[in-house]
Amino acid sequence: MKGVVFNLLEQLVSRDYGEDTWDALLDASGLDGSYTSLGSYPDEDLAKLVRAAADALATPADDVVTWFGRSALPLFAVRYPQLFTPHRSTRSFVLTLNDIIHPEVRKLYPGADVPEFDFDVRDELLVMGYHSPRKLCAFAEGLLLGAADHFGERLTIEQPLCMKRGDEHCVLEIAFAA
Amino acid sequence: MTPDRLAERASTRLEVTERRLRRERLSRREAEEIAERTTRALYDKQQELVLLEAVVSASNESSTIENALQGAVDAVCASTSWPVGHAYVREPVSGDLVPSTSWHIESGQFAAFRSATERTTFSKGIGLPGRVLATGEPAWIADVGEDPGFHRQRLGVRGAFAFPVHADGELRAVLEFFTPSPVAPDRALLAVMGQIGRQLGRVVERIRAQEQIAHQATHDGLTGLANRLLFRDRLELALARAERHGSFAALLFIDLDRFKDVNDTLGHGAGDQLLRAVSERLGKVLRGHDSVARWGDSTVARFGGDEFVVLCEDLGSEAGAVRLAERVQEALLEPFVLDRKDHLVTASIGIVLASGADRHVEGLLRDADIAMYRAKERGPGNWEMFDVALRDRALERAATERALRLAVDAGELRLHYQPIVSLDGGAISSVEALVRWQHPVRGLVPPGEFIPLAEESSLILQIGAWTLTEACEQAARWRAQFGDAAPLPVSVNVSARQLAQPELPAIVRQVLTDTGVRGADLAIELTETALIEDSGVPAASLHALKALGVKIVLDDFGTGFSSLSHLQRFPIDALKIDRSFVMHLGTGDDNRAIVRAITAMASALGLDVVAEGVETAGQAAEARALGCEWAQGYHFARPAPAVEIEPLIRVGQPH
Repeated sequence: MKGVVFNLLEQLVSRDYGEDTWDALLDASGLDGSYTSLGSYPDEDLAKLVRAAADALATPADDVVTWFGRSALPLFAVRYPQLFTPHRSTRSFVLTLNDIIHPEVRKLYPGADVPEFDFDVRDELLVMGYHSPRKLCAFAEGLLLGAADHFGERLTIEQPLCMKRGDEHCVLEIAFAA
Repeated sequence: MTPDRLAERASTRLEVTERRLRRERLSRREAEEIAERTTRALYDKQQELVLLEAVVSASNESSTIENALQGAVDAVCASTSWPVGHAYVREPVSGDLVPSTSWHIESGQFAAFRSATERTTFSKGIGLPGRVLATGEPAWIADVGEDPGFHRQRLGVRGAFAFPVHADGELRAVLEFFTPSPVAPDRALLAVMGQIGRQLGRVVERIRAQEQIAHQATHDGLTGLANRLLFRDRLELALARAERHGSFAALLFIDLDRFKDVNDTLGHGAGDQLLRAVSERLGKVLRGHDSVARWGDSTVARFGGDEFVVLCEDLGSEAGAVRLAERVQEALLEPFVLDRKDHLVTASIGIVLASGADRHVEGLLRDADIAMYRAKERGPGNWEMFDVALRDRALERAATERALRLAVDAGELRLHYQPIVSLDGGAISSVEALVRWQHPVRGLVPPGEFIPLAEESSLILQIGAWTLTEACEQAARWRAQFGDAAPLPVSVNVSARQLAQPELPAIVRQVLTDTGVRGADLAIELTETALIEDSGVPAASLHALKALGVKIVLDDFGTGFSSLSHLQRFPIDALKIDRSFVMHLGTGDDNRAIVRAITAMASALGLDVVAEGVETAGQAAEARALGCEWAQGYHFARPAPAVEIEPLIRVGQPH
């Protein structure tokens, strides 16, 4: 996991819950908390922080991850405007994940292990397959919701398949409100 | 220190620490951002290098512009991960951009876009390629769906960029790339593409230079038509195709009639101009078709000089080939304007049909050439279809020519002599030397079968020189043997080619010296045609011969131009009235007036007159009555070896 993810999490936690909360999460996770954006750190570190936050807030871990994704997206929009400006809709933006966005991520953070997506359209639904051993489909869900916020759209997401429930991969069915 | 002071100090220290922390955090962020930017820049630079290298190596391996463009399209797609790439190329005449076959397409979902593109041509300023054509600069469209200047249907593409390829100062191609999602303009990428375009431009220039060299090696510089090398290649391919399809290929060998006259009278500049104009008309004929026939794939070549060769495939039949030959001749009917004057040009055409691999290239070209010569023999503006009999005839002629060449060296030539007698008394006055070929197998070959052949080559010069020497040696022997009764002068036939040799008088003088014969014991017989072949040389030569004492006899008089001016201009001593006039004497046909006119004129000019081909006593009497003093013919004596003539000399008269 690239250090930039931890930096983002620190930034958001400190902003919304105060700097002390971040220190408390680090203490609870037994981590020293020095992350630099280009470095690589154990995936387990993120899992520990998420668990600690879930315990502190008494919410499911996935909700924490989703919050993280949804809150991170506006930060991306500020940092990487060129990925957003050509698009008028969430759908159009999301469809560039494999071909444009993730290749850009790899250019900035060599060695970044980004997930693979596949896309399908079924009965007005955008069906998005998620493939990653990290099983962070909730983060993807959060980013989707954040993108909808960005483009001023509303969407709902169903997840008929999930690796955490023993499926081979995760599937997110996205419905755009008319 | 009071507790208040302490607290104040502690809070100050805390503030200081927090400020320090914020500072640290900011500088860490800044350091990270710098690192990210550097990494990103490094990545771009690396990609750029990889891409440039890919384009350079692809283009170095390309021998055609299409291949180089294809390589670049593939390399750019691989580097950018954009799924669609295509090269528009500049059409040289209209200057528009037309779709090419250089495509990179990653999946079937873009098939509709491809076929829409393949139907679309762009002029300056129109559409994405036209925009690049107008500005000469790379261009980017973030989303073609929102760009009013994008003319093709979107059909699954959104983001687009394009860049130009310039070569030799001209825009030659525009490479365009598409991706199914909108993408914001990337200046850095576009700058790299500009560089790719310049690199490609250098490659295009190199390939064009190579192609030009290759073109020069396979095309005729004057007319731009294929040359012999390329034509043979095309013919081989056509024969292979004809064999596969069971069809015909037609070969037309076209030779302009009397082209040499144009060069000689109007100069080579006009000759070249004519050749270019003819090549244009040939091209027009082959490109078009008429109601009777539609010509298949064709190649027009110039083999040098005024020889053109046309290869036409899928003509279907002999009739089609003949129709094509006639169309070629019709196309030449309209006068050519040379030197501001109209010139009429005709062509002789030899046709060969090839049905497959049973005929090889050289053989076919030879057959077409043979047919063309046969057509030319029939007069200007004719065509001839090759058949095997023609080839046999040509082969026989070639064999005869080879054999004749050997015969001259092997001493198989003989001279026979035919007496010329006085019609007043019948005494032999002189003889005409006639060459014969004593063939070891065929026996005595008549002159008609080998002299015309020899006249087509330099062989006639060799034969002429031999005849001259042989005749003079015989004259020397007779002079020694018979003194004043010797049948001299001996007449020797001299061909136009010999007469055209400026050194002829020198040769004759040498022979006279070598054989010890007086000039007056030798006569040169020539035809009127030989006199008009060339204007300068014969008159000078004849006067030089005359100065040696040699007599000049005009042979076959009455059949040619019979021009009085010839008789005045050249130092003629005697005329031989052609056998065709003599033949009919005494049969009631009215040739007598002509013969009488000739003798009257000859008498006025002080020329002797010999009647040739006298076969009967009646003809002899008639000729004498009409004013001929001398005669030659079977009625008096056949041509015979010298030993058979000699008894007649002793007797004083042939009968």
